Formats: sequence, C-alpha cells, structure tokens
Amino acid sequence: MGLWSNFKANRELAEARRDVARARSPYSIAQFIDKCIELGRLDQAFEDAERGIQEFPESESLQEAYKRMIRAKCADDLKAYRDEIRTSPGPKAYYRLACLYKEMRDLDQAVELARKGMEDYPNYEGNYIVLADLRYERFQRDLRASDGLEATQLFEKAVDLNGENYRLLFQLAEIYRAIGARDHAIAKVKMILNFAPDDRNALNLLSQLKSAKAPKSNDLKEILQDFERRAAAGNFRKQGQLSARYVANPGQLERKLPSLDRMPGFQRVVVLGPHGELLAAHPGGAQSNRNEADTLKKMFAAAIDCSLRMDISTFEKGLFESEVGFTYLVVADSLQIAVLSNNKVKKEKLRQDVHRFVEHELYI
Amino acid sequence: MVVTKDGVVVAESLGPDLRKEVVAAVSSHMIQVSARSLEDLGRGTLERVALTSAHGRMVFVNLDVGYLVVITKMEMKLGQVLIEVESAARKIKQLHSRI
Repeated sequence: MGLWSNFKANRELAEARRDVARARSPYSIAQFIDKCIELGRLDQAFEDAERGIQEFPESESLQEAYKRMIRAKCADDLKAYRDEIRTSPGPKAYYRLACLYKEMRDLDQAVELARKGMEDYPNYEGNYIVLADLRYERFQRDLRASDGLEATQLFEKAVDLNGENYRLLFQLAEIYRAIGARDHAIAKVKMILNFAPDDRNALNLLSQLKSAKAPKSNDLKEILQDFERRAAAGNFRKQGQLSARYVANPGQLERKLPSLDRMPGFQRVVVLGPHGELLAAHPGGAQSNRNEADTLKKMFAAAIDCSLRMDISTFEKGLFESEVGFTYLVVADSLQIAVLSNNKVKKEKLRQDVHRFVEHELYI
Repeated sequence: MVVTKDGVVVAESLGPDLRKEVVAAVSSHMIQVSARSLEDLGRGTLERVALTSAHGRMVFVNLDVGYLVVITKMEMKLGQVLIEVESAARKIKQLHSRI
C-alpha cells in the first residue's frame, strides 16, 4: 500500500471511528468493522469485533460482522485446508477444516465435515469433539436436555478414544458439574488424577464436587430433564443488557418507540419482556395496546416453541404476511418486539429498518 | 411437507433427522395460532410466515387447501429460500386446480 492510499485509509478509518464514538451501538461498531474489512485492516477489525462482542454479546449485527471479518481473515487458511482434504485427506484434515468453519460460524459446514471425518476415521477423537462442542454450545443457548445428552455422549466417545486428553476431561467434568451430575464429574476428575495426580485444578475441582449435594438420580437423562425443567422455570437464564435496562425502565423504552414513525408503512409496535409481560407500545402507549399484546404474546410463544421443537434452535425473527400487511416479530436479548406495518412497504426495507432500530436506537 | 390446518399430512419429503408426525403436529399448532392471532389483530388471512432461528429457517405458505411447510438449514439465504418456496407453492396450487 502506497503512502497516499495509506493516508486515505487512515483518514477514512478515523472518520468511521468518530461515528462510533458519537453513538456507540452494535450497529455502529459493525459498520466500523465492515469499513476495516473494506480497507484491508483485518487486525483492527478483529480487535474491534472481539471488544464489541464482549460488550454486546447478544447483538446480531456484531455476530454477522464478526463472521465477515473472520472469513476475510481466514480466507488463505480456508483454501489451504480445502486443498489438503482434496489432495491428502485424513482425520486431522477434516478436523482442521471443521474447526475453521466453526470459528467462521458456518456451523452447517462444520457439522458436515466433522461428521464426514467421524464416519471415515472413527478412531480419531478430534471430530467427535467438534460435534460435541457445537451441540454443547446449542445446549448452553437453548437449555434443552436432548442437546445436553447428545453433547455429553459425543464427548464420552472422544474420551473412550483418548482417556488422557486433559482439556477434554476437564471440560467434560465442568459440564457435568454445571448440570448437576456430580458423580459423573467426579469420575472424569479421577481419570485426570490417574495420569496427573498432582494437578492442582483437578484436585480443587474434586474437593468442590465432593462437598456438593448429591443429585437425586445418577441417570444422566433424568438429570438433564430436571435441568431443562428448572431452566424452563427461568432459573438459569441471565438477563442481557437490553432487557435489564428496559424491564427496569419501560418508560425509557416507550420514549424510543416513536422513532419508528419514520419507517414507511409503520402501523404499530408492541414490546414484551422476557416473560411476555407488556413493557411498552406505540401509538397509544402500553395500556391501550393490552389486547394486541396478549395476542402477540401467543404468536411469540408459538414461534419460540416451533423453533425448538423443529431442532432449529432459538427463534430470532419471523415475518407474518397477511392481506392487510406484515407482522414482524423479533427477539432481541430476550425482549420480544412486534412491529406491524401495512403491505405498501418492501419487506427488505421493513427488515432493515427494524434491524437498525433494534441494534442502534435501542442501545444508544 | 404439505399439511392441512388440522395437521393431516398430504405429502412429504423430509430429511432423515425429521419425524413426519412431529413436523405435522408442530406446524399445525404454529399455523393455527398464527392464523387466529392475525384475525384477532384485524390483519386478515394468513398468507405466509418465514421464521428464522439460530440454526435454520421455516417457511409456511397458505395453499388454500392446506399449507406448504419448508424447513431449511441456516446456510441458505432467506431470499433464495422464499423464491424456491413460492415457486413450489405455485406449482402445487396449479396441480390442485387441475384435479
């Protein structure tokens, strides 16, 4: 890069950074990351993406920007690993490529490759671990017993193949502890102590486990089902930044809603809290939208339930089209946001405007 | 899958991970709740629903005689999915009108 183009790129970046400083939101940070990618400043993009995701872990804009950044950053590795599979396939080649796709958040590809690696080379533990990690990630998000069971079965299979993988055993012990399967966790820690008898972390974990309450049953399926029941009762979910802010102060939320009036075709917006409680609505305010809120609550519940039962994980958004117009439901950081519009607006425009409202207006 | 509002399967072609009875029951519930809710909100008849979740998408299209239900992976772009689904829905409607 020449001096002049370098100077120009620096100036553009400084301008983009000022925009973020003026109104810091997931949306503005994502735009900055895209600018860095466009200018080939991938290290800068990486740094800001990592920081942004830590600050706004639930943000869709940032997750997407992170994906774009990691894809740009790993383009060479991707090509090299793909070539390796074509020219000299082996268990580690599948493992490496699956891990890369996992890092790029292209989860369908990651699963497909790890599965292929597992089928072709069943005695290599790496591909079981990739699949187990992905399933466990999903379990952490959706808190469904079936995901937890599948993840632990895959981890156990990897342990069967290599009983001295410290990281794996420790991770599995931590998972068992988190779901309340104390005895399963103790068994894994003891496996670590067989080959590393003085390991301080393992000894600490063992003493914590021994002092913990024993579960009612030792059957993993039952333990996980009990965990799922407690999760459904809301015992484990952490409240995110947005829902914490607006559940505590719905008035502040209500003051933000009129900004949607600028949206073409806008008719109504209703926002529900994490448990379906009505927080704010516009126009007319919360009280005069009570009936609409009750109906929209049922729609959200059906969409959330449908997504989980169809094994496509947590519901994020849904566009319902009818004769009169669009009903757009979005879940953002446990807030349930319903935007109603007429059918004069283009669907893509509706999606973009609502996305910007959620990822920018609500955060600033 | 083509399913009636009551959950009766008319035709299906599902991937190995999906069970026909489960898809039919869940879809029927989703369709009934959505259709009733839209009517309660004064928004008329349900024509189409596109759901996006963390690991996949679901599209429901009203065929008048039932609903076309499509489940896809996340890697497919929504626009691309909707074009394919609309085209399939049109063909099914034409087929039905000939019977």
